[in-house]
Amino acid sequence: MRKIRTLIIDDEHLAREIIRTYLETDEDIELLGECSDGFEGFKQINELKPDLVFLDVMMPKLTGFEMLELLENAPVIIFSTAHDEFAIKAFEKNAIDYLLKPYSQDRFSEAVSKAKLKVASGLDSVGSSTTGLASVLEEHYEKAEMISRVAVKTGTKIHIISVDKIRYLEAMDDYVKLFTESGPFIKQNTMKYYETHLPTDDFVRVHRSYIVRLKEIDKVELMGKDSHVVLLKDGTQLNVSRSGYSRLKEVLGF
Amino acid sequence: MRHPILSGSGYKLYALILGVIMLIHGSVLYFYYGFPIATAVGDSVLYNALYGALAPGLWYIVSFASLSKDEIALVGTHIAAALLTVFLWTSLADFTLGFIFLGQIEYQEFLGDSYIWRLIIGVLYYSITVLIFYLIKYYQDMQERLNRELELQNLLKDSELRMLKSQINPHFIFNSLNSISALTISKSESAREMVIKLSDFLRYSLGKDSVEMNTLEEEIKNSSLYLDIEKVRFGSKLNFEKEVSDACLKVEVPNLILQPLFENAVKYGVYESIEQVSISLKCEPHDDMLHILISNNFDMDAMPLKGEGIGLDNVRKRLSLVYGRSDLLEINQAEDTFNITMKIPTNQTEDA
Repeated sequence: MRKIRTLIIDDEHLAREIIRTYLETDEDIELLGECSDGFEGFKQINELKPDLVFLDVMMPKLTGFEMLELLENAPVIIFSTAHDEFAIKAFEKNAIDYLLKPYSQDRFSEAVSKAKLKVASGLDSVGSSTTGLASVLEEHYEKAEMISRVAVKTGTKIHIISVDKIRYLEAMDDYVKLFTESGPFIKQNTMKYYETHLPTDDFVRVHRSYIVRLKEIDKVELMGKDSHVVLLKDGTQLNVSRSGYSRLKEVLGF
Repeated sequence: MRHPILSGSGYKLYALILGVIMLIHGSVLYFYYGFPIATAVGDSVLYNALYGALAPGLWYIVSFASLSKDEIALVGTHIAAALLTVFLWTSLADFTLGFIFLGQIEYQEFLGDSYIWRLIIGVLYYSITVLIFYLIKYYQDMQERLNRELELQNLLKDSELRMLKSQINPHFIFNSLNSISALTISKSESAREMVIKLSDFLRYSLGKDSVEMNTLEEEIKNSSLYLDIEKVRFGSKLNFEKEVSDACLKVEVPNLILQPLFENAVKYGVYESIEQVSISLKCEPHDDMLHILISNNFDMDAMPLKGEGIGLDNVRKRLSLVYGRSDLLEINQAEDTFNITMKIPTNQTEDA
């Protein structure tokens, strides 16, 4: 059997050390390296194409989740973190296991066994069990915490955009185009996600395809018989749907 | 509820008032009606002393009657009490006085004539007494309400203070335990050291619910423990320097007031940076203030994940609750350095 090519991403050297030590006795594992932040992790995953990654969540500048979102072909992920509150999100991202620091060698081996099974069977079979979580996740969105930044990439370069810099968002099939002060960025995500995760005081969904920052709106104009458009301060014109118009009326109070 | 006459020193004033009334009463009988001095004194003393003995009992009627919300019952109670008191009092006084001064025809006549007046004056006495009792009772109720309100405010302040005190971040503990777990593999000495530091830190932070103030020395010792533990986790990424003049060490500060400031520096400096972050502590005595400066550099590109400064806000609120001033915490940001200046008044003893 081919060895499982493994990468460790954690910003604490002792946390990496314990994973390394636990892995030492496992003949099936080939340790490719260790990374101490998300940027390096992103780079290493793209270069080395590991089968399995041990991933910390809270790391400087780029969290484990933000890094994961940027990957086109994610490897098998085992989260290793002291935070229990990200478990649902981890399984949403198809993580194979979620280790809570500190963990025992037995618990660790259990996670590795699962990962081996998944690596051996390819990407299709094991992950399917997590799709049943969809309804739980929908609910999770309802009381979702607001985001304050978005990680995007252009080529292999990662940018962290502050939510304050987003002017408006446009739906593009499976992607969302974020228009910011420093140009547009494309991100794989849904409009529903941004509708529920952007601060509702600042953003309003005016159309199936558009979410607009309220401060960017110059005026709302009648277009045709009973459809409207918003004109942004830079002259951009965006369509407004009927429900979008009533939402606008509500938040702007006209 | 306290009795205004029987408890405390109220009886002195009461006796004085009775004495004055007796004097006036006796003088009228002696000078105006021309009765012998013994008769005038006897009538005055017996008559008023008898009322003086009955009146304190009216307090219970006032106390009891104010419990009822029914106005008709209230008026009824007072009419019944007035009639009973006045009748009992005047009858008893008249009978006794008539018996004592049996031989004085003139006085006997006066006693008969004045009976109706004594009844009327009796009702007046009753009304005045009850009115005064009501005033006293109202005053006592108000006082009690004020006290209770004050007590409630203190309780609120207490619980608010407790809430504002820094809570240990559980992730910090779990991450530290994970580091210890790693250290046990190859560096058991360091693992033991870290266990002891973590224990000392937890003991200080968890056991400080009852004590409100502590010396700056103790505070710095505890925060150094915290930074030592973080240093084991982050190695050379965290650098700590302190410059504290000896004059500051014994100054009393609200306990666990430094901890959130260092936590803030670690959270937004060390946790969010890939480069080294230096945290510095300076303490200098100024006139009647101790100045505590905590600075750290930070990565300007890093964007904090969640709302900043809840910990700092709590420190500000705590300082204002303890010292009654809202200008004791200053925060400023210059380039890539975050500076916090905390001032601790040293001339006054805190009143928390």
